[in-house]
Amino acid sequence: MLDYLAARLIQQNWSVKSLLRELVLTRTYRLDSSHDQLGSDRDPDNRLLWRMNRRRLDAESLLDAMLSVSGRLQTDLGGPQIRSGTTNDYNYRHDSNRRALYWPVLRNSLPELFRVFDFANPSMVTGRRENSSTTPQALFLMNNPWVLQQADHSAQRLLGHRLDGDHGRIQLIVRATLGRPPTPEELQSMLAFVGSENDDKTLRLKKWAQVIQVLFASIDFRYLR
Amino acid sequence: MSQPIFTRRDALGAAACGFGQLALTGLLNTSASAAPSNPLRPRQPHLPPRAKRIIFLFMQGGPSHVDSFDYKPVLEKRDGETLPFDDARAIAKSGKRGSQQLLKKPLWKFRQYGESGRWVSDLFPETARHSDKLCLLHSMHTEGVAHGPATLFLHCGSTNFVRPSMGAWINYGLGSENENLPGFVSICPSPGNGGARNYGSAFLPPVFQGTTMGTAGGPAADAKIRDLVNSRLPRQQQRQQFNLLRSLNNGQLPSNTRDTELEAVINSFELAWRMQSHAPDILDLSGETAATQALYGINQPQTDNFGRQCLMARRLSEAGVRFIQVTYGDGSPNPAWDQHSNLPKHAEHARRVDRPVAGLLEDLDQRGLLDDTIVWWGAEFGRTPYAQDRGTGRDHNPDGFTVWLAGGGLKPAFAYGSTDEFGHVAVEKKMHMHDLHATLLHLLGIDHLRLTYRHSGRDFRLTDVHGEVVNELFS
Repeated sequence: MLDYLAARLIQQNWSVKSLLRELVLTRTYRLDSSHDQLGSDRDPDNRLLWRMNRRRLDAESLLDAMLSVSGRLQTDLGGPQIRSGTTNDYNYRHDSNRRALYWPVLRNSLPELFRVFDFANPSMVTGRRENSSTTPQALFLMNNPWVLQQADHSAQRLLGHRLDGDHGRIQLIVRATLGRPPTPEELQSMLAFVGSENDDKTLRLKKWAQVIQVLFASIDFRYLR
Repeated sequence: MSQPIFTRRDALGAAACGFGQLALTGLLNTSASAAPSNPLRPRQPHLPPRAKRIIFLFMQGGPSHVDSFDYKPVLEKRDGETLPFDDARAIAKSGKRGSQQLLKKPLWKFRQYGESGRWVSDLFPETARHSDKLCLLHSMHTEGVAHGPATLFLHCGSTNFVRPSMGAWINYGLGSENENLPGFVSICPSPGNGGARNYGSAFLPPVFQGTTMGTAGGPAADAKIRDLVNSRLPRQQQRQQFNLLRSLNNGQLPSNTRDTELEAVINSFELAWRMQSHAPDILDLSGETAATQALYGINQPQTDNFGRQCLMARRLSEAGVRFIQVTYGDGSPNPAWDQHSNLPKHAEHARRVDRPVAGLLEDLDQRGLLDDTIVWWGAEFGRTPYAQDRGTGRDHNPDGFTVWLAGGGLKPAFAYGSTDEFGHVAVEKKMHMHDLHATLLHLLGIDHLRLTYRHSGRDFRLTDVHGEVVNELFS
């Protein structure tokens, strides 16, 4: 396989872009990670790539994904990362809406999302990050003010759309957060949770923000599969 | 540990009432053994443990041992004499030995206390009343002349490399006794002199790092575990939201195969939910009687802050947290006890900690907790018996100082080792910081030689290649 890819790279005039395009357009690359009894019996470790390996969103992707759903993500390139006038990294206030790539990595003040979601310890060399599932992560997704705020922004954005009822809203927000349509069960439980479309606006916003926060905390938001 | 008869998956598959069944099981089985995927589940110790947990009272900056627990009458007699000393800072700076120093007598009168007749100065009259509970280590020595390296050495066993903190090692070695709480809590840690590294997990999985509450210099009344409480939703409403999350996550588990990783994610939410339900009560001091609060000096201006920290430590230890650090310090680069030029300021710090520390010892003792809880009082180093720059304070001294331990498995009314006649250098039965680490791990049932973690191609330990367990301290 590597020999073949090396030959292709040379044939295509050493274009890495072409090589990548070829790779991502393959059937194998576009497989999802769903289970298959035959594959699982013959090759449980997926060495032959009969399916996609499930991938967990790292801290940076989680941050970008939430900002993107809330509509706050700034996608500008380059420029300074640290707020001007900063003299000390202790207690640095991280409140950027830029991509996580542009968030400063300060040894004495990692953003809480980074700290909780296995970002590499900036004081040491880390070859591979941990892949943990911890209580602080769950508490962060359930209670952290920044997460609540992104859910608020997302709810405002969603309710601002002209859509045909809550059914359509759920379709849209589940696609935006999970990249797939809701299952009938998901649709049902979310519809039941948000209550009546005739409720007053404040209550509606509150309920929708809670639903979106639940989507942020759900397995399918935290994994690509 | 025996496997539970029902795995979470079985229970979900079989029970028509879904998570209701699990929630019930959770109520009936509050020990951390319930969930096999919980990385903080309790682990079997190497040795029969003599104690279950440690409360470390960190006196940031280095209180002077010759003004508190290490009585040296010769300092009184020869006060003001100039003598040559091997000063650690002078050696570090220029390599010079035998620098001329001005002996300085203790500023506080020493008295004898208890049946052991232990000498303690008037800095700590309240703690002194508990002399017969203390196991004093007079021959401590350590690495690092400056706060940064010495503080890192105290917490992580290394002055320069990034290493896991002692609490993280213990958390990794033993797990948490209580699944509703973290195994390692640091109350009001300082952001300086190593900051987060002092409660960090370095290369150990991050789940073992310390959970912090508040920050040094901040009011202890506001010290909270981060994100433990939802600022908006009342309990009942959040429960509804949580049930929605449960149903979504449950539906997103693959239905035809076991998936331990995703089950761990689901389990992390269940643990978080339980922690959120229980921990705020544990951290709420308002249910303590007025008498108990008074014991710690709460509601008195000098002692309120540290008193609250100590009472929180007792409540956490009662609830089964393995390692609780309580820091007396501030957020500044010059830590609290660092009296280079103004030694009398020691009195102010002592007033703030003395009653709370004594209260903690008494309270633990009354509740029978002192039998299996170790209280460790100490700092990154001590101070010199001579004045700094011939002035009015004392410089750092890593070559000889005192820390004391009390409780679980330790000899009460005991004093180990000694410094020279001036209190400068540990001479008899020297006890290095590595030895203290090894001994404390041993008391918890951990063999410091066997508590290892493989990183970068080799096994690491808290004590590196050093550390002797000092059996003489054990009761």
